[in-house]
Amino acid sequence: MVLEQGLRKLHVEEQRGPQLFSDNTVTADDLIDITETLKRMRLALQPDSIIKEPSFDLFEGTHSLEVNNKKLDTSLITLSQEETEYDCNTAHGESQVEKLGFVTGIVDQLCRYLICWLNDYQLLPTTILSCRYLEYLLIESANIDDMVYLKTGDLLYDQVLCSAIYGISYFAKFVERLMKNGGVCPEEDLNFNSMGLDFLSYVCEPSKINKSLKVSLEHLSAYGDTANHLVHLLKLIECLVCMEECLTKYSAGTAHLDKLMAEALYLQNKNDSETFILPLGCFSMGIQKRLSNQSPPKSLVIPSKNYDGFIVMATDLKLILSVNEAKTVMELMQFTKFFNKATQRHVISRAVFFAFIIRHDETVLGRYTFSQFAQLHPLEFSLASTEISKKLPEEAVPVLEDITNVLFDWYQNAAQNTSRYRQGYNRQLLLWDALQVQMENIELEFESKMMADRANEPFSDDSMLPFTSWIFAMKVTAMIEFVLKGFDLDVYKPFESYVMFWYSYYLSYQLESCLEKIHKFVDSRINKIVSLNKKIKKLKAGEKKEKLRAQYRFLMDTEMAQLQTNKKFLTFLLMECTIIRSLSLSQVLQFAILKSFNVIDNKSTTKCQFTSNELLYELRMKVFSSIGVPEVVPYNMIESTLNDFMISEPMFALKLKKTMECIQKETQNASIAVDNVIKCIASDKDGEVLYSATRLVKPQATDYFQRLKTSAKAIQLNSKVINAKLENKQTKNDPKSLFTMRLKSCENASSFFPLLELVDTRRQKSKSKK
Amino acid sequence: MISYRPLDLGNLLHFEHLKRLIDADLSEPYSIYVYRFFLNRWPELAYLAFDDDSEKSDEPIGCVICKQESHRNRRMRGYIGMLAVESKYRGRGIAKTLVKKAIKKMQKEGCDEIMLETEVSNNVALNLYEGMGFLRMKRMFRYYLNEGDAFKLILPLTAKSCVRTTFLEENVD
Ligand SMILES: CC(C)(COP(=O)(O)OP(=O)(O)OC[C@H]1O[C@@H](n2cnc3c(N)ncnc32)[C@H](O)[C@@H]1OP(=O)(O)O)[C@@H](O)C(=O)NCCC(=O)NCCS
Repeated sequence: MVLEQGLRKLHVEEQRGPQLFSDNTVTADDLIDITETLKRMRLALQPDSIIKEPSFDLFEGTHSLEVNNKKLDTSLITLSQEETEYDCNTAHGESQVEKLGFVTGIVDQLCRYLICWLNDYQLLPTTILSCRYLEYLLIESANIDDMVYLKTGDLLYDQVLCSAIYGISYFAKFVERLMKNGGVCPEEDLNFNSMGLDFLSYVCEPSKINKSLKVSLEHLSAYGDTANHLVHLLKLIECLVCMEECLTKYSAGTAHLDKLMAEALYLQNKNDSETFILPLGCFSMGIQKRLSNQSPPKSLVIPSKNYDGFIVMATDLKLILSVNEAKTVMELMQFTKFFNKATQRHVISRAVFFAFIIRHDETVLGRYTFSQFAQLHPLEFSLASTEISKKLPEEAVPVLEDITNVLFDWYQNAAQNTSRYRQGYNRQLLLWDALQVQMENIELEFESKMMADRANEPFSDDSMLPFTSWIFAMKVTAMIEFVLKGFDLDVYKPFESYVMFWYSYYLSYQLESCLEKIHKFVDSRINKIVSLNKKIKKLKAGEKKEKLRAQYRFLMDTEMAQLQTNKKFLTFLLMECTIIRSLSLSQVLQFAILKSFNVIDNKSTTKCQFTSNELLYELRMKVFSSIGVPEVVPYNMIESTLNDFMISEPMFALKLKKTMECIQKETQNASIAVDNVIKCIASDKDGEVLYSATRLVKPQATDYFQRLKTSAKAIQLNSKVINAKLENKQTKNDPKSLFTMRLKSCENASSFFPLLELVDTRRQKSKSKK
Repeated sequence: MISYRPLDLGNLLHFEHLKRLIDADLSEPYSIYVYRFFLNRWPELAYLAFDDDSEKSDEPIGCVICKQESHRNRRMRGYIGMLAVESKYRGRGIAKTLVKKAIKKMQKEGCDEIMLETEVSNNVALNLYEGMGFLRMKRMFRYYLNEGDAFKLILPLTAKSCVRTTFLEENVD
């Protein structure tokens, strides 16, 4: 308000105008009189309206600062005398021992700040940029576009500290580039508020920095063991400087990452008592006051002993680089599906992922052109040995380009943070759906002119449409993922769990049918080739036999292997689908039991003064509302599905027993399927019946399925616990007043299938009374 | 008795109190611009609560601040920007009344839905809004810088809220 009142008093002091510039750099002739314009514009102003740029919206607003507001104005930060007068060109420390301690402390703090910034999502100005030396060196160097060194007269500062700071800054520059690539979300995943500093844009490659680090290490050798900590820090920084090679050279080498982990481990295990004293004023909020700043004042982070953070970063990056070993697109896809699924990977590795596989030379992993990439996906699924793959219609070519783009979206999305990941599927659904319509038309047209790709079976008259089937499978998989990821992110209330589990049941059923159809087709193609051989054996020697033999050989050489692999992979996917379907159905049945006991409803408990349960359902299903197949089930139909599952008198007890048995059976089904799947993942190889293509993400894929198995067991147990509680004589009459429901994630279980937990409100109340 | 009144934009004292009320629960205050952004453009969508029995009966003890705008020119979206009740007056249904008044007004003005964001850890706010029918539509990772995730909540008022904007007809006006 003080500010507003002050502003009201503002007026133009016309006489003072030119004298404002007392240093005579600007004369009256240089100025334009805008008094009249200002007066005219003032008249046009509406009272109480806000003066702003049209593009300045609420988002800008919530990030806006306010002059003279202590919490929002960094110019009001107060600094100590040491901070204000800190001189970077003085060798701080009385003795050489103290100087070494200071320099070690500064580098140590900077390295730990790196982890605060990258692993704990802290800001640059409150971490590494708070270092007076880093600010000074970056400013001075930018002035001459070359690295400037300190001039304290002591090499510990002038050489060792400078090289460490340039190493760290060079790594930060790599992070900045990663962020600009767009693999991860600025602000959400990573903050790069450089405060207007130039992060070594003039240093194009790292050799100068590496050399400088080597010189520093040589210099430190004279100090013996006393410089041990600093030596290891410099070696760690050397590894950080190399990190960019995965993108500058597309190198999948990991020697520097192994070394980084070893150095970090050494530093982490070092005696805790070793704390370093820092020269006063060397880390400070001063930069927030001095330089261009879009953030309000923020205190500096206090870094913990966090060297293990480097190990997390290096381990995850190693995992990403191992994608280079993918032998097929199937392996690449499975890698992408699992690497970030159960645990969110380190931001650097997520940012590297997409840029590492989709390369500047317009190839994928330097191996496939984009168009090959688009065709290989369906080929390693449903397209092998089909008519359309042999005579691809011209109209399909532009659609292949669209497929490439949607696939890029899919690959990029897999590396997003856990919340964005679900939103990505929200966007992708539309893309896959549009592709499906496009491709279906082309394939139907092709079929009408040429030949249909149909399973060679007596009663199978519907064709498989290989492209469309693949797109449909991708779409429905995305839909299931979107639905179940909502549980992981705690997006649904217990009352919504019926609809969401029912949908995942419904969608996995749809997916299963599609996969079965493709499986049947692939099987029939394999049989066709095998039967050719039988035919040959029956024929007498002669031209016809030779011709057939040549044909057989050709098919065996070109199609059989892919068909066999596809068949086993489809069997694997079918099993995965069974697991999801069975677990979803168990949850649906559990909900129905709970509703039959009247402890939960599938409707919001609100009085719905402004809305209705039907609108709420439709809002929840909004993402799917435009999808043609599988279509959204209308509200009243969803209601009737629940009624079908519910239990009522007569013979309530018997029906309850049957439903419980059903849950038992479904969870057991899921468990058995998981066991098979895990066995297949462990075996690595192309097995007899199953192939998972998860060679490069074995632990991650195993963990994902193991969690599903734990969920299956937990659901089974939970159903017994619920039954015991509800069948209890004391609670039987009015369970609704005694229990509430919540969705609970269990340890080591899949967060996609939280338990419908019955919570005793009496116990809660008595607890809260205490 | 608690009474509820729409904002009087000319009353700077109310403005000052309201700002203090809201800033009290924020780790980082909003700049004056944010308040002016809401209040000067949509003064009719801000409601204040007063304790008539208190000595300071002219100082608001609760407030809700909203806006309403066309979302991609396809549906009208109401947005609850801020809500706060002074701590000693909490748990008496004041926030609920304020929010209801605001929603009623926005509904009358033709809103198809009401939206807001709140921190995942703010159970009180989540209970309050979900008790009125709001659904969590998505979770946002580290929405509040340096702090936790947030949920985006929507309360659908008309069928338009339940159709993706891409498939809604553009408003001509
Ligand atoms: C959120 C806030 C405005 C609620 O104000 P209030 O006047 O105490 O709320 P009400 O008394 O109207 O309660 C409304 C509902 O909120 C929920 N609620 C209120 N206090 C609660 C508590 N202590 N624990 C759990 N839920 C609570 C309940 O669902 C309640 O409805 P019910 O009484 O029918 O069960 C208040 O706590 C506040 O100012 N908090 C700080 C600012 C803030 O978080 N704003 C929301 C940002 S989006």
